[in-house]
Amino acid sequence: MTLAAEQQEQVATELAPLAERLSDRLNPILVKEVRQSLRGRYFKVSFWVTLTLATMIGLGVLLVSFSSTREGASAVYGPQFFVAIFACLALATQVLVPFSAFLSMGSEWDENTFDLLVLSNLKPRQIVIGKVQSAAVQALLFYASFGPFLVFAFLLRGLDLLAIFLCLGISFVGSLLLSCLAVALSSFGQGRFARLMLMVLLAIVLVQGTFVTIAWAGQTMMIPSLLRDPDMLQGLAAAASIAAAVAAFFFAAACARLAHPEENRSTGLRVMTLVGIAVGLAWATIIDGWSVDEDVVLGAVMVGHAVLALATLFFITEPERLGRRVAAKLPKSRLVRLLATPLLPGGARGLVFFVCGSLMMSAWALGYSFIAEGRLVFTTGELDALVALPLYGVIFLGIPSALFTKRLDSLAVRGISRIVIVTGFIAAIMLPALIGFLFGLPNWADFEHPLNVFTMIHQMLRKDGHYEEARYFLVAGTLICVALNWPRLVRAAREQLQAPTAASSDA
Amino acid sequence: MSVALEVRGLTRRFGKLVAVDDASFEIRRGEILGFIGPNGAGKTTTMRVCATLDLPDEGDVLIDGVSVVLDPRGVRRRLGFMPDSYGAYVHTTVADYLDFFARTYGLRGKDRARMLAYVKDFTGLTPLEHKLMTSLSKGMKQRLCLAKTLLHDPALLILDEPAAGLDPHARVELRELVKALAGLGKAVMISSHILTELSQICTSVAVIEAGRIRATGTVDDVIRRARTQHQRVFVRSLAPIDALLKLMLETPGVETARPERGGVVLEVAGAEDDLARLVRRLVEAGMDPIEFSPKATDLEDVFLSLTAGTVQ
Ligand SMILES: Nc1ncnc2c1ncn2[C@@H]1O[C@H](COP(=O)(O)OP(=O)(O)OP(=O)(O)O)[C@@H](O)[C@H]1O
Ligand SMILES: [Mg+2]
Repeated sequence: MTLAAEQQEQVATELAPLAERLSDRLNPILVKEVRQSLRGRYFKVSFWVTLTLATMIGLGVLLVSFSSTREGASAVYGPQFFVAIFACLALATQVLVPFSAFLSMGSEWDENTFDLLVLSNLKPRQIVIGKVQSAAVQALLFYASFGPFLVFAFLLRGLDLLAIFLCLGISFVGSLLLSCLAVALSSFGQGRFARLMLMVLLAIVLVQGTFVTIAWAGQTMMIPSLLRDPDMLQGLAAAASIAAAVAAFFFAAACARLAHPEENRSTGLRVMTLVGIAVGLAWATIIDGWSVDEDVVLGAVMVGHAVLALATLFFITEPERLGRRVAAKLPKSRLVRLLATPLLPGGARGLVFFVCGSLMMSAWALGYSFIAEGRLVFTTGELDALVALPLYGVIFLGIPSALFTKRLDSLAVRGISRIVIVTGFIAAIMLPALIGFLFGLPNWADFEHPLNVFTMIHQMLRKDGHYEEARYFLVAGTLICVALNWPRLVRAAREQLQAPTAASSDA
Repeated sequence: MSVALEVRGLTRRFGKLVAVDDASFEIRRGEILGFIGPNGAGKTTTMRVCATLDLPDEGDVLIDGVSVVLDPRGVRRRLGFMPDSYGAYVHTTVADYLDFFARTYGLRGKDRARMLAYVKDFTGLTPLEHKLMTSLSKGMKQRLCLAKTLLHDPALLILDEPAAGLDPHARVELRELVKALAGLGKAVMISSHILTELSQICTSVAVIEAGRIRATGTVDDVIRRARTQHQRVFVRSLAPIDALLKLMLETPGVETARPERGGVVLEVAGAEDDLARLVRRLVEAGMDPIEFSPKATDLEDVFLSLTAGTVQ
């Protein structure tokens, strides 16, 4: 052995413990995942295939550009070349990488493997973070390996440096977001069939998302001045923060799924839903530039209610009991316990959650109007809509879910109750129209009946229809809903107040 | 000796089925408890609750005084659970697998290296450490899982049918490993169908059937108590077997009688004075008994007499 080789070896043996010590700080899942993917085939194959593809496409683009450029014309091939390379990169980091995160989370789900993971005392949060981190590492490897191509693209001229960094940044954030989504989706499907459906759904979302990114990058490269437009930047910031809220929601959803069934799987998601809606409202406020545009405000409230109702669909069908572990962790003060009602798990508390979220949006709409304009800017019809929207939600969510309250402990019943709520909502729109058609009620046949939230709200906003019938329906429906839900609400409140305050020794 | 595991009024229902019904027992440090019962008796369910993988509907389990309901994470630090079946990670070697779990328990640097070397040595996995997990045989996987279970030096080990599917050599080795662990002061709870296996290592037993605990205590205690309830006796006499059979079947307390090896084997309910009465009856009826030998009771008899083998 030569002296140099010996020295090299010595450096290596000195470095190895250092690497070990560094890896001590890392998430164990990340370490395991990286080792597995280095031994496995998926990453290697996707890595080399993508690089080869990028090389070929890049060469192709150059050939076409060269041959189509007439003599004397300025030779600027940067943007075309960059977009071609970027497309390959985006496909790799936004489709292949999240997909491998989906598969790797799926392999954890095998019940027996997962039990061992639970016993290892890793928190669900650590597991999900580890999975997303290892997706990020894979994505970064792709970016690093594409470095030479990107430098070459820059040398071909015609590229805006800011635009390059924005494109790369956006595709990296997109890759993280989609990996979060993939991990969350994977933790939803444990059955074979569910897994397959989720896989198809994920593939569609990934490909769609990637095409949006590529299209955006193409546009930005061809017209870089777009980036200097403040509206564009504001739109980007809004999109980024909403994406962050959505990613956080998926993250919370995945953590909730990985937690023990008796653990609190609901509070995190409830908080994230409210935070997501709040971010949306905040952007609606900023984009308006502090002058109230009723259309934007009402639009935001409507979208907010749709999101809230969708989330509540799951919360309102949770088993009613708090569970012993959750009950043991309730705060001591009875007042705080009652105030926490909308955020605690349980179907009845899901209804309270919906009402509170809805009140939050109304408060925003009214407060915004008063603070920005110093008066109420809404017409009576718009105010009617602001009241009607939550009531429709309460009725369509509260009445059907109350029928299942006793049997929500069963997973199957929970699934059925959700299907019943959704089909009930659709039937409430379709059936009266059918009745109107059969019995010759022209308004009903045109879907203008009090059960159809869409036309009713539309009429309220335009204040041209006759939505008086809707008032009767809303009052009657709300009363029925309250009557049906009263017992479960009382039970829930009593359970919260009576839970023993055991001193939990959890560190 | 301090109590390592205390099961208190544990009840677990699956819908209408009561898988475990008000079970109570305890294990002390250094003790090996055999947990026996027929298929579907509720052994795995009880063990999963003890290991925080499942939650009791009523009652509680305390591990070193820490409740599985209130502080599952605290419990997991103190206990090692080896389930009856477990999956393997793809593309993962024995060493990587153990290294991963050592990291999840927060072992770092030299501590981790020392612990890994110790468990690999203890379970004899050192020569296999570069093998892929998926290529291990059943017995080797069992050892790997045991090694994983020992990584955080738990005070209590819960092993669900660890001997299932092992060849006789491997079983003997497993038995020695378990004994060695108890020798280190760990409490061990071990479920098995192979009762001869258990009787050689267990210091105490708990018998469960249809979710109810039928007997608990030291092995000797349980056997003695079983003997006060139930005996098996071999009787030979000069009288014809038919007459002997007829007489015995008419005698109160005799549950079954069947001819065997020129005599009759009796299952008798009751304690030793009931046996004395039986001898008197034989002599009084002029049966000329020449052999009357109560069979020694072992765990297998206890098991068979306490459990009817009903599957729920
Ligand atoms: N997740 C579950 N859902 C419904 N029933 C269950 C579940 N787990 C166990 N059971 C039922 O509870 C009863 C006890 O099962 P358990 O697995 O504890 O028995 P066991 O004593 O371990 O049996 P074996 O010796 O076959 O391993 C069985 O009747 C079983 O069908
Ligand atoms: Mg079992």
